[in-house]
Amino acid sequence: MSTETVASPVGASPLVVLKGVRKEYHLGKTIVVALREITLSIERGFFAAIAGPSGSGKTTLLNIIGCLDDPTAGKVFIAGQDVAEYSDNELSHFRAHKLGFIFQSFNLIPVLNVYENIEYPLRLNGTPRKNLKERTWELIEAVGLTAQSKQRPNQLSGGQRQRVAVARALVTRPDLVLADEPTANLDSETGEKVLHLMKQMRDRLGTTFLFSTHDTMMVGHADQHFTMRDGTLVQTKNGNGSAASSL
Amino acid sequence: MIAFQDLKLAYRNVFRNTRRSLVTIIAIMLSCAGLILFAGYVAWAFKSAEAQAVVIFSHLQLARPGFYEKGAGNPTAYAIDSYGQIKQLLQDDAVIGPKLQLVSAQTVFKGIVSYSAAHTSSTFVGLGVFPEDDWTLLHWNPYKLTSPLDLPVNKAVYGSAPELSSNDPEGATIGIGLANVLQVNPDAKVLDKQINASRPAPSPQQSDPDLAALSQEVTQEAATQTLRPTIELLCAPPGGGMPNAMTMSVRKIFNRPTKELDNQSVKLDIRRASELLFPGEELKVTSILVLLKQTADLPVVVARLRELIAGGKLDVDFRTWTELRPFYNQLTQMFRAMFTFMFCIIVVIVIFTIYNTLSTGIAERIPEIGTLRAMGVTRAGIRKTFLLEGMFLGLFGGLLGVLLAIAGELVVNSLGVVYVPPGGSFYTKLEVLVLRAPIILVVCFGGFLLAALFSAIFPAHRASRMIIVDALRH
Ligand SMILES: Nc1ncnc2c1ncn2[C@@H]1O[C@H](COP(=O)(O)OP(=O)(O)O)[C@@H](O)[C@H]1O
Ligand SMILES: [Mg+2]
Repeated sequence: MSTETVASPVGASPLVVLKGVRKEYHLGKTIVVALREITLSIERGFFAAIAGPSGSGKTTLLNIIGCLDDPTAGKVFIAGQDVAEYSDNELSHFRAHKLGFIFQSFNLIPVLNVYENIEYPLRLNGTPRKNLKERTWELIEAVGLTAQSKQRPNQLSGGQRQRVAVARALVTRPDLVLADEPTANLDSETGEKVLHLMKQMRDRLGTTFLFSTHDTMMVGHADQHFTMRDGTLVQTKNGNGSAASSL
Repeated sequence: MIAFQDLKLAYRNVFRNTRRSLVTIIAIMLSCAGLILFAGYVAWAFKSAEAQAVVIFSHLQLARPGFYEKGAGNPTAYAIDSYGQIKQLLQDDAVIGPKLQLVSAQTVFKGIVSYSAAHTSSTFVGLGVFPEDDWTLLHWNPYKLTSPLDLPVNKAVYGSAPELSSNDPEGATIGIGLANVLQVNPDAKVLDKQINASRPAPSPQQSDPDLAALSQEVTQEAATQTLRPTIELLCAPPGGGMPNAMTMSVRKIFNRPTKELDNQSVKLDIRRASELLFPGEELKVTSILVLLKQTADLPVVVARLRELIAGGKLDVDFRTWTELRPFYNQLTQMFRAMFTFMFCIIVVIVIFTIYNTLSTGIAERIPEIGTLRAMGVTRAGIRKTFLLEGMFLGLFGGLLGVLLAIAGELVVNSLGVVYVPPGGSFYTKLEVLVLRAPIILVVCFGGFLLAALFSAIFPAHRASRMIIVDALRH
């Protein structure tokens, strides 16, 4: 089942391509190099992981791929588009339509209930009013939170919150979901479940996932995984017999 | 564009930290209510001062050219003998006529008054009026303020009948100060009471209180004639020659608005004044009084009057009530300055309060702002969120302020505080006009809403310019 959806059409370009991406932070006079000439590509429909210890540059890399930050040098292509050409407003529009985010500390909107949190991205990207309910409920049911739909985030457990976040990230049917250490604030069993849910959703919707983790145990789920250290990619592996990225 | 979603989010965010928002809203409410009540007091003071001036001066006074420049020393030299024609002309005029409430006249003159019973005498300033017109003038109350005539404190003085009566042409009223100078028994009320006690009860078919009072006076007059103090008025004719004298009796003693006037005032029927000043001649008056239905019509009437004068139809000079009573403009200028000053201070405080609340809220919500931006909310979208939150604070605070001010109006008006306002001549009930001056509500509420929006601009802008990744890492 999974191999079918994972297999990318022959000749189709990868969804994410990074070429020589470098990122420096300037702290007064000292320069911190967070990423050093990263080159990678991720195929459509992949469930990809970035592993690496804390401070290795995972968040920085995901932020750059998520068009939240721009690289000091190098190029980022998402679905063939050089995102450096976009204005701030165009990037906002792009994120609202093509990307989904899952955060380590869930980052739900505290004043909105489960239903409203999941519906929010649909309203943001101008989904027709008549489709809102159906599409929101589809995701609520998919992540198994039907009973909690009226609850506010502070009434939910960590695992439930992250499931809301997964639903929120997927409700707009984005091309790519970026999840920065989605399991770091959860116990390992709950973390496993959330990761399992994400992968299940990938199988169902064909969405490309890229998640980071400092826990090497988690990368076993991935079709493709990268290992980072001190801002460099030290290892790229394609697992589960899926198509290898041409690095 | 503002969607319902934006309003819902902003509204919920406002009440996310309930205590902080409530404190802010209460601060806005109190400032707004205080400002509205002060404005309501100012509005009342303006209207009350206007009414107090108009019931004395009317809106316009017409006099012979030269009267206002040179007439002070010898006002009767500028007397008008065509009062009837001028009144007719004004009433028939297509522009002025419909705006008129009353056209009347008065005569101001000077002379010597003596009270032979006490061997005293003094100079006096005489004011001749048409008694019933004077009564009508006194009742002018287009703003529906509590009429001073209805206050018990004033009723003791005015009773329910005019100060003078056409049925009592010999009766004059004098100022308390003049009564003291002449040693006329100032306790005229006691005199009245004695008469009242011996007077027959009014016949039941007379339902109109004014009519009843008038008819009572008629029956009373014969009885009082001998009891009333008698004064002698002595006046030199305007053209020189032998002074003319006339005997009058004192009907009542009145408190006049200024000390000078109070010490010299004699008020009497204008026809008696004319007989005294111009014996054997037709009625002559020194000024014609024009009372309008509403003060707002004054500019139109003045413009038309100028036309009539320029066209040679009228040979008069005129003064408006504010020219006759410059105090009104001084009062309003002072209050306007005070109000502006207060408005500015309060608005600045409100701006800082809302600014502080929003800034604190934003500081607590930095990761949330980063999340929203990551999800695709534009900078403008973030700005909108916080502008709406500021607007809600202003809206709730302002609305509650309006309600509190209305409650305050009811309380103040029901307290029944009575005093003689500066420049006034009788007791007046202190009121604030809030519901009766809705423009104040609109201006204050609108001002607060704008102030709230204004104070949100800067924090909203700052929130919208946050660097997304920094906000997310916060
Ligand atoms: N805003 C910043 N300013 C300065 N240094 C930063 C900033 N963000 C990240 N870094 C540095 O960049 C490096 C990579 O950080 P990060 O991408 O957060 O790693 P990871 O997510 O793997 O823990 C670290 O050394 C970190 O200190
Ligand atoms: Mg990180």
